[in-house]
Amino acid sequence: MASKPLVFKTAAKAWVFDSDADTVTQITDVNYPGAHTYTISALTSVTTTATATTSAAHGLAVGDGVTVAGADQTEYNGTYAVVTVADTTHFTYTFVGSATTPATGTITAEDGRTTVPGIVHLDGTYYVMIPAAEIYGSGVDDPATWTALNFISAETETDTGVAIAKNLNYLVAFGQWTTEFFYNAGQPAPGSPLLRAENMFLQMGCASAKSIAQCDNSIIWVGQTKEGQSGASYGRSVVQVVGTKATTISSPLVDIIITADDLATVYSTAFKHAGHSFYVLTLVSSNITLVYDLNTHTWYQWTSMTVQAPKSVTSLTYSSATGLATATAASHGYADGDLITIAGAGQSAYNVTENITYLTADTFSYPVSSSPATPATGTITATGYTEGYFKLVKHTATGTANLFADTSAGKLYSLTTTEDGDSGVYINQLIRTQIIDGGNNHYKPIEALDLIGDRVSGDALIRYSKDDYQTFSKYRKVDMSLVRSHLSRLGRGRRISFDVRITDSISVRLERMDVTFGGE
Amino acid sequence: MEPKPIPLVTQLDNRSSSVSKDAKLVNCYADLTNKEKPRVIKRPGHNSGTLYEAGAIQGLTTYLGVARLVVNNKFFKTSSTSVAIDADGLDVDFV
Repeated sequence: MASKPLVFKTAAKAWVFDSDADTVTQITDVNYPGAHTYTISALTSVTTTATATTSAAHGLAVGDGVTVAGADQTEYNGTYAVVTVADTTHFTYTFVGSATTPATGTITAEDGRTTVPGIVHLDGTYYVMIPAAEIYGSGVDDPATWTALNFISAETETDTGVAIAKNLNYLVAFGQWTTEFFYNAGQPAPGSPLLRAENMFLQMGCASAKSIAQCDNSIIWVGQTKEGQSGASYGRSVVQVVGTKATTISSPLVDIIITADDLATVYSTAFKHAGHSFYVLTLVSSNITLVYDLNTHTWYQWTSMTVQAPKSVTSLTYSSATGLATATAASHGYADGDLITIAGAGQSAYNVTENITYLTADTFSYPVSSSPATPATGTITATGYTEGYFKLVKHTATGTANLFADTSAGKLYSLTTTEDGDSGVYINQLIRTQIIDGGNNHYKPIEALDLIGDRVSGDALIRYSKDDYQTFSKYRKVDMSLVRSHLSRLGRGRRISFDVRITDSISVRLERMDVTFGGE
Repeated sequence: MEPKPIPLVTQLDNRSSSVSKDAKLVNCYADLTNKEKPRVIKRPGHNSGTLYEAGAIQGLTTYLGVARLVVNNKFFKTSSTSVAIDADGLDVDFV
């Protein structure tokens, strides 16, 4: 049995991949609502009115944009609006200046028609939508053939089309302010077989076509309403449609982040891992990736680390009293607890990858396990990492693998265990707690802390803030292989929050912290 | 005094569009299988990847059990065979 073809498109063009014939063919039907290039067999003018004759039928209409190129008389070339359409092979436009007639050269005309993101297959018909919110359908089981009359408008409200997608057996037409659903009602040809599902209309549009993802029989996107939100023109939130029911899944706090972003570059995808379904939304301008867990209804932030250029270490000394090496690297930019790789020291004990302690803008320290000669010799470097948005932005599942694409490398990646990191680069896990006060706002000693979780071979870094997350203590390590992963003598305070940071490539399930407050 | 248990599973609790303050889970997810013992787990990592061609992947899908993608205006029919398309470097949608 022949396979259904794979159809794919950009804003302007579309192709059909026939796996049986192993061919890729561009859709050239003049009624496909994307861009087309026509050969102009004759181009004449009377004063500033040019009349073009195309060698094949064109799909232009009065007012359409058309870009003429290739005329030796350059006055004819440029982008113009079509003034008249006499028939399917003739149109006129107005140019500036005067030109010899007829024009010579190899002349083409390209219309500027585009479609919005998304292509839908529903009961044998392929659908695309244009910015005017008209949804065009192909011939049944024939994505290469399109007719001008097979279209239906998403016109409950007067807004522009943003994207189309499929949810269950509905075509979802996203507008700027509204969302409409269509189903195959078997309406007779030559019109569209679709009808609008009137009871599913949403007064919620789509803020970014790139935010749309499908997961767990649902469709999720960044919605937009005309109602303003503080600091922005429009109200935004993340919306999920399950079956026929729409629900806002973002918290007001997530909405603040989404609303503040300009949505210039957005990525979204969805995938399953370890029984969880994740919607991953990356806002590049804000350099943040927000992840929604559809199982626990929890929002997280995910990041990726990018290796920095090595920095020169101009001084490296060791103190036997503290067991610490102190490095000087001008304007190193590292933060307390960052994982840094030291290399190039003539005394190998210095060359480690360790969590550093920030000392000054130019110096930091780290533990050394033996007692190397001091100062260190050699051409010494320190290499750190920059944290940014999660780099895996596209996903597909082949049945045997979860495959992901990043933003620029042209690679497909597979998920691995946490222990492997991101291709050998550490994953910066951070748990920042709520502020706790032991049930009162008294000034009190914080005597001890126990981190409760799996016993594994590795360390957690813990620090605390006693001033509403404004400043933090230095990180202190706790050994998670011990019976008690324990810190004591945390000073005094009224309200305290904790950061638990794990840079070791370990997989550990953490349950809670037990904090012991002293008497007043 | 008795230790106070502090749960680690928490929602993103930013007070502004910045997440530099307030509670959050970074590179984690929550396991609520045991409701009395909610746990935080580090997200999975990824391997070093298979290179198709350096550049931004314009679109990605699975068709007949094989990953198909467009990068550098080339449609990869398989991981090793491609055909050039005039995609203008734009994003590609599949169906």
